Amino acid sequence: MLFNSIEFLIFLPVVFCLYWFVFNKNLKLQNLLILISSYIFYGWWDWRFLSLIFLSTVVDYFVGIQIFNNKDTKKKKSFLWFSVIFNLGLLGFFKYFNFFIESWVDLLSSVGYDYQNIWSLNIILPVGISFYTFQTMSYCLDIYYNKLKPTRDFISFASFVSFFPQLVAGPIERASNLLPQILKNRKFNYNQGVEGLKLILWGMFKKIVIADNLASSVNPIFENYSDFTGGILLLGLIYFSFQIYCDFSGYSDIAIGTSKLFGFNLRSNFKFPYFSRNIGEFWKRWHISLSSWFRDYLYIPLGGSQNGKWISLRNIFIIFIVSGFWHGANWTFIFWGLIHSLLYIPLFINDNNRKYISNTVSENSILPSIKEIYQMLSTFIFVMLGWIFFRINSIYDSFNYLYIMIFNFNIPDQYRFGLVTIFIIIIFDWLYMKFLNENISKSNIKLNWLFCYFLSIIILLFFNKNSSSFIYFQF
Amino acid sequence: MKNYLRHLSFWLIFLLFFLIVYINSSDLLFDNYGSKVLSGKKESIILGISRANMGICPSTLKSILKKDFFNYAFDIYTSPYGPLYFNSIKNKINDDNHDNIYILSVSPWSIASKSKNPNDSTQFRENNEILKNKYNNTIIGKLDFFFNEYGGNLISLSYNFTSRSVESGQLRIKDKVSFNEYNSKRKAKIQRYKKRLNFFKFSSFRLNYLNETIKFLKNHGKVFLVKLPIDDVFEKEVERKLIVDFDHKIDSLATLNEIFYLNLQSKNHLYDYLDGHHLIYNSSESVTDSIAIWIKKQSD
Repeated sequence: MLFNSIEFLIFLPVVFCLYWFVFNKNLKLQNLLILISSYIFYGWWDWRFLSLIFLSTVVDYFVGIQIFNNKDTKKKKSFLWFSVIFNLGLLGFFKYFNFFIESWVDLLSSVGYDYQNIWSLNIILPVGISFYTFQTMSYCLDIYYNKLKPTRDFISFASFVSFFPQLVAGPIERASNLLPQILKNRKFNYNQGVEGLKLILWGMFKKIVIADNLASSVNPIFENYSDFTGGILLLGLIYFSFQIYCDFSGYSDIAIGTSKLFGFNLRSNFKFPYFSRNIGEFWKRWHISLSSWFRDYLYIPLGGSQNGKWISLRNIFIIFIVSGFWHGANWTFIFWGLIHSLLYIPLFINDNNRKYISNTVSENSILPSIKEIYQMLSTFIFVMLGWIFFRINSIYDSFNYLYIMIFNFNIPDQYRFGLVTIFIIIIFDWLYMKFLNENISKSNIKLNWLFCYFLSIIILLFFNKNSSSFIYFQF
Repeated sequence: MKNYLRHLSFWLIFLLFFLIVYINSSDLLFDNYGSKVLSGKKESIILGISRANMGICPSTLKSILKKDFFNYAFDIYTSPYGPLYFNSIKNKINDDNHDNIYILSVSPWSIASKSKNPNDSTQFRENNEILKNKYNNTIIGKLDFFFNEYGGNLISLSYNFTSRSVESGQLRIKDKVSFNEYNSKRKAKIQRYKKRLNFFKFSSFRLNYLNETIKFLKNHGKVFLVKLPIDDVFEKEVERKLIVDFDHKIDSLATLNEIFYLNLQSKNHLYDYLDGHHLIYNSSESVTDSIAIWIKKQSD
């Protein structure tokens, strides 16, 4: 089920009413309702793949208990490996099987061996598999590292795995954050309810008003890029940079907002990433739940930055390339990860990667300084160039796009309207960061309601029942 | 919770009110099909499928023939000649006036059917399309149309951000099409229509309904049959293969009903197309110009 669909518009109020008015006296029933609702939400797309979620839930539920109960480190480790292999096996089969087979065949062909590919399978990629496998894996990893105790309540655990607001496109939640909230009684809070509604509308605004409108320019430009001149390709690239941001962060906002309506607090997934002053800061603000997952479960176990510069550099390469590969079974994603590692490494060598970790741009003023504008613009340009590889299907086409964009540049005479959309989102994002991105207090409750009224009118004006799906569903 | 629900209800009522007022105040003119089904009765009208919808300009006809025209052509799946379109035409025309002009665009696709038995009207696809319902220009009719048929967003009802516009029912697309883009679009369209050749068959039932439509319209004015030009390649590779003796069939029909038939096939090369069979806006003006002059000659 899509957040931006009529079905969800009916589904959400029904679940909300059942949750707070029918099952509000019994925590177990509330959690059961969450579980059933989540399975309906997911099954709306294809009910057959519910079996995968259920299997993943059962495996990690029992493995988690086994890891905790066993005192023998070797046994603990083997249970952990079982979970990791099982989850990565699922992911590997459904997402990467054909990629490995086809890459192997290509490799054989390139050395002159004519091998007919009979192994590729017609596999459907289950929506959200990259998200929920990572979520369940982190549960077992946290138990193994003694950060978490396993739950014996299967329904609660299954609700944690399949929690519908964030099931198909994140944020990838940690059990240490979400599970305790599932296990304790929840009470409705007025401010949290308003905050939830505001976030849902803000996410819908980004998706329906900005991303979907930009998509109508981005798709024809990228699909027929060789027919266009450099100026239009540059516009297409700028539009895609904002489309993917608004599409994905919009989804995260709706997920976090919906969770708030049910009394849950999920972690932020985006913190105004295009206002970053370097790539290091960008990665602290973009898809935070994934980058922190890789930091905690890959980068740090590999030694992080504690074992000398060379090992650290190796680890940086690994996490960026794996992160790229997580997005899709294509060399372009790996290349995209590689580009970001190359952008990050100079900062790391000069110890600038943590420079902007504790403060935000123009912290003590309303507008940024000239220096900050320059920093944000240059970071955006690098990030934007990386998006070419993310959007196009082959590395050859990505370089070709780049070539035409630079060497056949002229002032574009079409597709200029999207610039208005970009201007709107930059202004709104800035205003949101400065004035509305904080928990609601009594003093700004009216401002938040006003914002909700305003956003909902704009969304209503731009809502299209044939709206497209979210980009991150394909991952 | 009570407080929250109260505020939530205010908000929902406000949105509902806004939606109703907005839809009611818009005349749905920017929507091609909305303008056709919600615009009430019309006098002189243009009929046919998408080629006529985009290819015949009411304003050009008006400037030469001094009559108000309305383009009531839809598309291949909605308005091939048949019982549903016939009934819809009967409801659309203004019976008070008997001096109207009716331009019926004909093409093999407008008298063919995709159904297994091309003469079984219960299987016709238009039975599930927009003309199956009657919409009126009231608030209920508009809301009904908006929720059931309208595919765009609310803002497009008031502001047009695209190169598409609607004028007296005609869909005008003012896209710039480069040579390469045109070739690839034409290639794709020809491929799609070649596939359609496997499913579409001539329907004598539809031809009879075209005959019925002509007879009915003759009681209210003059009827003219027109075959619009299409790209020569499209004509050769697709069009002639669907109904081999199409021209003969239409000629006979025109003779039987004592009406005039203008076949513009010989002028295919004079015009430009968007995708092989839909005229670009400028060419649609030129084609309409020649149709209007021809009608004027026949009427004099």
